[in-house]
Amino acid sequence: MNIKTLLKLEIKNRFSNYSLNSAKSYFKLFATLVILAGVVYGVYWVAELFFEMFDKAGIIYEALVMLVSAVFLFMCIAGVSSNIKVLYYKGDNEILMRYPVSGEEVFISKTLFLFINQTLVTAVIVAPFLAAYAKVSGLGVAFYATIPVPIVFLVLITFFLSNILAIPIMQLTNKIRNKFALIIIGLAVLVTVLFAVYMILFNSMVTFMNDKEFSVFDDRIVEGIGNVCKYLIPMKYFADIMVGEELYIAYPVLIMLTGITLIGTILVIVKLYPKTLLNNVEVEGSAFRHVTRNRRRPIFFTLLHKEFLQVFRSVNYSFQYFVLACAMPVMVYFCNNITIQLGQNQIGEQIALGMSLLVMLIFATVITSFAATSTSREGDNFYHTKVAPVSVHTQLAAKFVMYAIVSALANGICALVLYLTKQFDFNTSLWLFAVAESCSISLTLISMRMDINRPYFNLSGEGEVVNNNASTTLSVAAGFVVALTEGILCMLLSYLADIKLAFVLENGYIVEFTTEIMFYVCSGIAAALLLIAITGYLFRLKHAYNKIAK
Amino acid sequence: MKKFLIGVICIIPIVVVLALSVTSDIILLTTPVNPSDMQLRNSNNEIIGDNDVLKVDIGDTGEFIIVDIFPTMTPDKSITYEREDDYGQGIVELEKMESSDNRYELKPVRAGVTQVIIRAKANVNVYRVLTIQVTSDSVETTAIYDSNGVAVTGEYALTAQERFFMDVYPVDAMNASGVIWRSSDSKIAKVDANGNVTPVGEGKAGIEAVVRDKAGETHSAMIIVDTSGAVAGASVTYTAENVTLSWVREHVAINPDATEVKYISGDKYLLKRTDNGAEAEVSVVRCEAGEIVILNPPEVLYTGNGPAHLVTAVVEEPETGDEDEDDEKDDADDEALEPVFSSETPDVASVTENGVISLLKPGRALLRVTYGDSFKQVEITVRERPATFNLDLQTADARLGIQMTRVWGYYWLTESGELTSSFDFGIAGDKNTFDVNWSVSKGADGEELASIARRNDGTQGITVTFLESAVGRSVTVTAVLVVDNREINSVKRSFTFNVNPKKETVNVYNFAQMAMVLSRDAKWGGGERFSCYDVVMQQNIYAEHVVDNIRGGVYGNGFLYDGAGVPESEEVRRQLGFQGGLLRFNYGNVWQEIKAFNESHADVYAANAAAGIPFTQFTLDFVDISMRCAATLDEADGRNAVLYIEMLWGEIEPDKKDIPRDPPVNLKFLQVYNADKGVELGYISDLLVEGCIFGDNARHGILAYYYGVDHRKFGADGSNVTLRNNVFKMHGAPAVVFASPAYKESFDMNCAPNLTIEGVCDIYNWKTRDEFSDMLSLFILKYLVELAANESDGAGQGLIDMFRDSFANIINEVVSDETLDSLFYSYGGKEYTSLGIMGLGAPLTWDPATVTVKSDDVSALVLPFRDAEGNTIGALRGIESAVKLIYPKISSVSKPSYLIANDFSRGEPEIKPGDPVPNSKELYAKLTGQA
Repeated sequence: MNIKTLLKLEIKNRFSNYSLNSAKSYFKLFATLVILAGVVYGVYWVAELFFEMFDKAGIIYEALVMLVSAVFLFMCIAGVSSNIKVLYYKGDNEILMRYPVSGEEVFISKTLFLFINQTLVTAVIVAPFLAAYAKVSGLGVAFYATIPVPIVFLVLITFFLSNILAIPIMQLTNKIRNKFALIIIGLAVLVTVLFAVYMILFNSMVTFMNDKEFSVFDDRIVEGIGNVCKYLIPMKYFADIMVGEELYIAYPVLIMLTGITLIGTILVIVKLYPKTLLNNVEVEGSAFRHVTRNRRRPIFFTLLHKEFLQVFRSVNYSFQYFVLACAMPVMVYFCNNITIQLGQNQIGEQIALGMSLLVMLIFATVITSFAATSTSREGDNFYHTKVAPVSVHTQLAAKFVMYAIVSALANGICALVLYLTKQFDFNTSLWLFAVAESCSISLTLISMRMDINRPYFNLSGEGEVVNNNASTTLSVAAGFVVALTEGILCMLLSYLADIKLAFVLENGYIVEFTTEIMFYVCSGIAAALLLIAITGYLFRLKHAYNKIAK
Repeated sequence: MKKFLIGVICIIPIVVVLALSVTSDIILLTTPVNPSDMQLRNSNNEIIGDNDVLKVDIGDTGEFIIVDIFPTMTPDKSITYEREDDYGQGIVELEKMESSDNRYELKPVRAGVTQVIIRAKANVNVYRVLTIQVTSDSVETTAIYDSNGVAVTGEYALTAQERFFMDVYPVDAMNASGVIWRSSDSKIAKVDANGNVTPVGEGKAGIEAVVRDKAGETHSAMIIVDTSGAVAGASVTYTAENVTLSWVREHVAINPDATEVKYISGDKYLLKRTDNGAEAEVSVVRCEAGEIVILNPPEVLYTGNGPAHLVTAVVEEPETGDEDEDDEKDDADDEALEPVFSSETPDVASVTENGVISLLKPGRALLRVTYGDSFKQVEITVRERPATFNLDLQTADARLGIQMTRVWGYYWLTESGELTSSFDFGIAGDKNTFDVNWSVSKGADGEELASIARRNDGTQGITVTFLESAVGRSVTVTAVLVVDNREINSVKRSFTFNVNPKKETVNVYNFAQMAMVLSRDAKWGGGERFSCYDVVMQQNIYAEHVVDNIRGGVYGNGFLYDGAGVPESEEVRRQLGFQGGLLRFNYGNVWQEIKAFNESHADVYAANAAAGIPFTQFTLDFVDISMRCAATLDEADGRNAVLYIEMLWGEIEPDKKDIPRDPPVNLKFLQVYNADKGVELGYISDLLVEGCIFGDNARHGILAYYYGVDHRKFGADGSNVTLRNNVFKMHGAPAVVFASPAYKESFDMNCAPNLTIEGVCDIYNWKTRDEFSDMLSLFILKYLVELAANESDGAGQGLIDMFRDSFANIINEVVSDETLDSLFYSYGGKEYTSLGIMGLGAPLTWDPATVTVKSDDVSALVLPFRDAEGNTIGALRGIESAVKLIYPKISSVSKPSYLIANDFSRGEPEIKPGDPVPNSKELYAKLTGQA
């Protein structure tokens, strides 16, 4: 009975934004379902292309194995993450432990919630892929009939496995929690690698889309994929059950694995969960024990230092900012390399500069969007900023300077990479940097001002801003608009200059598109944007800041 | 937040691709896009390189190629193709597959090799050459050849051992067994697996070569060898016995009784028949009994020519009398020992246990046969039998420029700047892996046109030396593949050099050579040596400076003469600015040279005239050159023209009486763009402009001026200008202008050249009615003011500014006159005229009889400055009065002005305003008069 009540509590907690009596909630639900349906259809479309691509190379089964493996890994990681969050770190644990319920009951109720959640997420993610697989492979109804079995195995095994792994991984993360630089570097490498893989896959799919008659994989890759998939155990057994291959091995292995992980989970519940939970409740919030010496610095540098530490010492913020900033040059390089090739084929070599500008600006947008939480991130400390004996302008200037330094470094390294890889000469790389940095500064100022106008403070937990808000979304949208405008104009004008398109003015003079016109137009837009951003940012800044009330 | 950002990163490439798509859509809305590059892929999605040979079987139905036209946003991706009939015996047709927009099915018609040139329809300069080998499973023909490469049929008198070859066409249709040789009577003649026929006795025997093709059919060829007069059997005999002359006669001679034997040296003997005098040189090699020998090992073998064989024999014991015992022993040994074949160079040739040799790649093959404890090795040269090969210059290289032809000068320059008529030529990518025989064509009368000599530099290359008899003729150099001393006529390549009719022409490859030959200025190193020589461009030439005082013409072969790299300097600004050009011809400076040249060539001209060769006088020819002053039109500012020609127009002042009439100027098949005026011609006497594309240029394509010329020069013997089959693209003002602004005597006498317009005259110099009006008013006003001020270009700007608005209103009225409506074409809500050729009368006099339009494309209309009664229109009268006051010699400013432009009452233009003019095959056909 306690478990049921606790489960209801958990569900109610998760869907607190919805009310059965509110029309707005129904509309919100409807909108969510429509978006979800759209996303599912989008995933289905991509999945179909994905399987067609592998089918053309004769490795559709291997594609299924890789997909199941990816889902398996994703569910394990997501499961471990959810477990750690829900079972060990969630804010309500302190309260729940005071209720007249046992630790096991809390665990089971939370576990059930996680299980339901995981099952739904799995179904939503995997369903379009499997439907696409059935269509492409031609297995049809027979395939659908076999799907539920491996899905159940997949959910159960990953769930049990994540339960077992949650505590050691939590201990590990606690150990490296304060090694901020290491985390940033590690995450930057991970993000870069994943992005590179994503871009390679993306490029393959675009190439395949252009001509579906041919495989995009050469024989060596096909052989390599085939060899790798043989060793993707136990993941390949899920696929085997779906396609009816080697069932005599697949079923026993998966049943055995389910049993082992279940036993492991029970042992964890009985032996470790209450103990770990209590331990976490006791140590939570005091993990960082590094004592630093007080230093006297100029006020501005103190503020800059504080701003830096605020980001540096938060895994969340570090990821959003430093990790992406560090990964940006490499991501730009990968993205640029692949999209320039596409662009050169579609339009011509003339678009290379515009394409690079577009890619640089889009990635710059991602990191400048961080400025859209510059004020919100103050959280509980916000009122301190109001009463601090330093002007608001100075405090905001410190934030701005840090963003400007980071964006300048990121854009500078991007431009340097483009120069060193001989994609552009020095002057062109310098111009790219100037335009990208100018736009980055403009977007930073726009984002900061948006946040000042409508800040979102997180009043729960440690006060970190963990969810995106309207300012962030708008900041990204504004960045995209700027990037697309600059990029498309640069590509268009470069092309027109190259083909020497000319028109005749009324006085008979011929005006010809030239590269100089392109440079002037793009630089002009960047300069105008900067001017607007500075003006908009400074306009009644103090008034807007003082209007903020939590 | 993290999920949001990861999501954003994931959609970045999608956004970029969408941006790309949007950009290409905008570009397509802005301007139609023509192809700029092409790529070919085979049906396995592999890119086909220029030197790749695509194989397709005669029975294949599903084979196709993919033609990718770049940029991919190009709306017109259609292609045309030309098959090279002379390339090989194969025939393949291309047919577009319905299911795809870039796939073309290969429809093989006949086996053999063929070559097609695939061109983008919307830009014929974008092309790829595709070589296709149509393979077949069926052998079509077989024939037997002797070792000299001569085909043998019927009876063949064999005097000694000789090797025969079977030629199979197509050779790739032969199955792996290769040719099988057999003799109808081994007592008369034996034949081994390699075709070595050895006389054994006197008589006749059939030697048959049999081959089975991949389709399973058997094909054979047979000859009858007559050994009645044969001298000797094997050319090399191996024996363990003591060799004496009598032994040789007994064992080697076919008819010992009628054969004499002489010892030569070493192991060589000469055998001679006493009855018929036939001789044969043989070797008798002394060996150990039981030793293995390789019989008649081939010296040269070819890849792709079927297998060959190692034929071995074991040297017999000398005859001792105990033959039975020996035979038994031999039999026992034979059972125990078998020759073991192996290759020391398995990458070049492999050999099976039966001694069948497979040739893998060219090189030196070392093959070994082991017999017991001993072995023998033989080294064989392995050459290639390629399905096809290409020469340094291919057919596509001879189809350049608007004319799609290529001419050659008689001379080349050596490194030291000396003239030579020799040219190094050879096989493309020659690695000397196969053999060719070279030949050169002769004249129709059998006259030698050129000689060839092998360079012997480790390639098959030759030096072709053109003889004087080649001038004005076509010289074809041919290479034919040689296999086993015989020419494989199905693998043959030719290139034809069309030598210019004028001997004094030099092929040039760079600016230094061009300037040296063309200019009389000593700084270029040519001077008197090259007086009146023409140059023939054999590649793009990037000008480094203006070339002044040229005294010959240029044949461009479609190559680019690019002035973009001419640096800015005071000297260049002077030479390239007002009345300047990248190439400058001033008849006043070089007329003595030209006169002397004409005189020295009188007999040549007479001979040419008699022979119908079109070089019967000195003409200044500029033919088939793509010329530009700058990389972009914007950069053309201050760069007047690509070509500036100033004639004397037969000055008759007392001290210049001996100057002959100016030489005719021929501008043919030029593409002139990115200049201020394109071509500027002063005082031109006889001008032919044919097949040219002018534009885009800042002002005019052609400006022909006659400043201050005596009016008597106009008229029947005056300036003759013919425009034939030309295209004019965008210009800031009329595409062609004839100007005589500072007339010396009376303004009421004709000052127009005899202008004839023939054939195609497409004008895409689009101006709206307002633009036309504004441009015309400015043009006339500037003209009038300059006359009134009696100053040159740029004078009286104040007056121009003062009158501009009022004058514009007047001209607007003129332009709006309904008589001009046929010159306007409504498109996109605007009215456009294509502003072509302007003969400005106004104060000057154009005799209507001087303009002859023989083209259906254009009309010559008089701008209505006068009303129906012939009076100056009202608004212009005031200006006329003012002009008369300032410059009394001007009687009227409303004299007929001609505008020659496309007449749209006859139909819509093919290319609409704003659209680019594609370099299509149709356009080139129009320009060359083939449309």
